[in-house]
Amino acid sequence: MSDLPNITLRSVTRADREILLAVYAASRIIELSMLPWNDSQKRIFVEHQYDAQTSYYAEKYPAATHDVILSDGTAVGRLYVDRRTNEIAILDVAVLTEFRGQGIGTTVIKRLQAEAAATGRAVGVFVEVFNPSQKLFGELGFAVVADDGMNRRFEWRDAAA
Amino acid sequence: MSEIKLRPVSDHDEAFLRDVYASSRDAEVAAFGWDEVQRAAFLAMQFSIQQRAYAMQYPLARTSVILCDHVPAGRMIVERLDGEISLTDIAVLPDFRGRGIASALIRELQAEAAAAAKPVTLHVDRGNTAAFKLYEKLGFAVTSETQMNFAMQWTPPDK
Repeated sequence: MSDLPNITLRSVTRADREILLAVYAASRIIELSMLPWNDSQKRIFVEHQYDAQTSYYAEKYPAATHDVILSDGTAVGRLYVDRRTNEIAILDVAVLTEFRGQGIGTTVIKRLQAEAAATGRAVGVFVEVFNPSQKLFGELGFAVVADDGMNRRFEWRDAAA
Repeated sequence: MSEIKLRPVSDHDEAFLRDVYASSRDAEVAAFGWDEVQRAAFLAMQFSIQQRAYAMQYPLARTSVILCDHVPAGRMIVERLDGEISLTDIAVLPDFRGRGIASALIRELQAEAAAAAKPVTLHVDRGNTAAFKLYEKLGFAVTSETQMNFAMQWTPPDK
């Protein structure tokens, strides 16, 4: 069974800022690990990028849900989803490094797939061509439907639809 | 009125290109509170990473030095493909900013694209608000977005 019952979601609040910055930093690990920065320098970069992204999302996708992913009540990641007429758009799904490989991402995405199937919609996500998370999407049955050389769109649709 | 021209890069332009790259990330890097040595090391490394990445990802891309009244003022990288003209990169030295150089060059690219009935495409980092706003002003719209970047496109108006 690939749905882990101890994985739950909770709406983000201002008190979650630290954990969200940590999750965001974990998702930018490719760039951050290449740089000779100390922790405070990395933090400034992460905060700046994170805040730019948050205000853009708030303005462009005001109805999007932003949740902390919890494992037995412990914050382990975040999920940002915009539910649209024909699509459940994953804006971001990210798990802290130390909690990866445990089926958390799989559980969260499969639940979105179930919701999409029940409501006659597709699940869609855009990732960069070098983004390692696309392996998971592939494993969960997503197909590449567009690729502009930098951004790749993955889409999943229920076979019965 | 300044004269803006492009000329293809040559091997002699390496140091200049590095300077253009460094200056394009100055504002970002200044926030990190580094000393000169750290800044220079970081930017040199990032520049060579970008060179290699561009060579690999955009083999058809052509790099040009931007000349403002015959003085090197920046660099522009363009990839001309069957279905689109892609603006891989454009950067103007600080002393030459605010004069509409990037806008003028992008408009020329749009004119070339219109004549060929092709769109102009580009990608911009999410954190680069100034560039994003400029592209929006020039009629580019977001076609896709990831956690890290926006893909934008300008389509020539129907004749």
